[in-house]
Amino acid sequence: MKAGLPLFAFGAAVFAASWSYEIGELRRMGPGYFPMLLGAVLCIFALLIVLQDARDRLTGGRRAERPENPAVRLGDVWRPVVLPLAAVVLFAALLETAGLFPAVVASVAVAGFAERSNKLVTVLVIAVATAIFVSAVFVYALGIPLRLFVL
Amino acid sequence: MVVFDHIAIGFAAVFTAHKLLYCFFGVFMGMLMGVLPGIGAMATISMLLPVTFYVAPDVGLIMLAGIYYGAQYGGSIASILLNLPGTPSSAVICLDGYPMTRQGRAGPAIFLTTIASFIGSMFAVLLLLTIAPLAARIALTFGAADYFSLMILGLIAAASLAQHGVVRGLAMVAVGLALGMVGTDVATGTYRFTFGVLDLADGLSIIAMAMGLFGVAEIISNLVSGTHRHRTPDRVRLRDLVPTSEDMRQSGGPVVRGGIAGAFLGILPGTGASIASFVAYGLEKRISKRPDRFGKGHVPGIVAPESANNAAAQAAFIPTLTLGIPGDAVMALMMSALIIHGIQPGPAVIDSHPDLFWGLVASFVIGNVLLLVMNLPLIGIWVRILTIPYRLLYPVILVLICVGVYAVGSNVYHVLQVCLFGLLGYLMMRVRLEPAPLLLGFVLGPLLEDNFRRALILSRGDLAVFVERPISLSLLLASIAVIAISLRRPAAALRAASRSEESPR
Repeated sequence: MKAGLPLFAFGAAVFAASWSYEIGELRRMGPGYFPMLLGAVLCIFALLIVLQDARDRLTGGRRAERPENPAVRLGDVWRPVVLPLAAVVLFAALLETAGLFPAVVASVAVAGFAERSNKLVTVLVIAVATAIFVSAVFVYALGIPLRLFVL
Repeated sequence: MVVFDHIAIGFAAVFTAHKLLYCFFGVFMGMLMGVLPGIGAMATISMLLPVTFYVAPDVGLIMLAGIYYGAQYGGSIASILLNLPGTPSSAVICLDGYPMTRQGRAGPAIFLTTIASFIGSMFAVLLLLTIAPLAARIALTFGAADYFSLMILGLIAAASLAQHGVVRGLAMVAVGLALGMVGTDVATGTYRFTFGVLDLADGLSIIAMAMGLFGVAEIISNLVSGTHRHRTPDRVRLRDLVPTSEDMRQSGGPVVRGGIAGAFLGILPGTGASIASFVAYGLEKRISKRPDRFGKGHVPGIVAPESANNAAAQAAFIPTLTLGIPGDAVMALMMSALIIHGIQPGPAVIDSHPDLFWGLVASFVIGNVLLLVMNLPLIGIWVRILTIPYRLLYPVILVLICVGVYAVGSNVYHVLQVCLFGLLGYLMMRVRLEPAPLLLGFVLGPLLEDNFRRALILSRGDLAVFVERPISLSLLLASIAVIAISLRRPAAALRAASRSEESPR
């Protein structure tokens, strides 16, 4: 269910959205034709997956593989999931507003705390070291037009 | 012999200080990143892609290729020493490599896989010299319908080898194709699925997608599962490396068979290095007189897949460069890198850029010699690199991914896409959906649609065009055969069969 239903929803959305473009006909396809086909095909695959998963669950048989870590629930793992993603967003937000150097420091620091055993000092040292390294390689060596600090 | 002309062109093209330097840099970085578990060729290529913008396309390609096959060398070291695959294609090396380490034979295992890697690569080079021009000549006769069917075959092959069954693989291909529709429709200029966001007019960024789905999702998954903790490799010294004569004798056949299998699997569109290593392992186990020895530190179990994955990694350039159809996710990325450089991969590449093509082949020879020379004497360094804890590495990798993605597109929006695809990739992992067929579908989507449309314009809307042309018909029949085989004998079962009770992850 967990894989099939979202896929079905996605396929249905693609199918529905394709009608807002010109569909055309087979000999002269409009921009909507291919997405329409694709949406329909995806819905079919999604239904097949739902059926397969249901069968696997019923038989509980050899093909129903256990999830990679059954003890883990999403609620328990916000730290390793949310912090790396937040680090990426932070990087994007700071890069052009504050500059490359602060963006790297901030996102390394945030990402570092995704692992519980990392200590504040270690994380900060890595953050600054990475920022120096990235500035040297990308800005000075490769000449990528980025400002280190935006004031 | 025209082959010798090609070799001459290649070596003449590659012997400049500049190219040799970048070749060395590529294989060194590939090796280094391959050694580290959790960073594969994909992340390394994305991080270093900006570097290639400052050099000529052929130099950049030599470097990127070096990363890919260099990572194949490095990947097996982590598999052998830590039971953690350095790259996906070396996962199968864990099965017999790690038991060898526990028997105190890590040194010979590393020595043998290095030699196997080298020999496997040479099979691919032979194939590139002989088959690539032929493939290009055949491809020149392809019409739009044939191309469409070839891409269908490639996508179906990729889907059928997905770990969790062909239906899941096909669904991922379809999602990839749909994501490939985002942006400007080539034929009509209509903006599709852009939701009024101007940054989406050029479509989603493939680098961002690859880095999110593979790089970031992998980091999250490693952190959640905590598999990276408490791993320290044993020391391996240079003199520990020497294998016994028995080891050498056992390796000959498997290395040759693995190399041949890998090279041919590499040619097929849709199959890459990971698949090749699994197939080679399964093949050795099946033909062995003592299949019970596999999984307990049996030498053929490491050399055959290692030879195969290197052969496949280099043979994969044949469909990518001559047909414009990438074999796996890394090749998809490589192909878009070429397009960024203004080279459209296809049958014309060999004729229009002979220096680039044959220079690349020559660089394979040089790069592999470099890896051979570098790998063994520096073994102490590679082992020490493995002792760097993952908890210190991953924040740096994450940020390098962001910088790399930004540098390629100079667009902050692409960095945000990394975040979205990272989340998507992690959620997909949890529900057993694989990212590789998705990425392949994404790259081929616009090409597939374009050829579909063109074939039907030429045939005035008659779908029979796909079965009337003999090439197209045979490719479609092959696709149906692939689906039929994979439904009867899922790749998952094949992989499970080659796996011991102890999962490599």
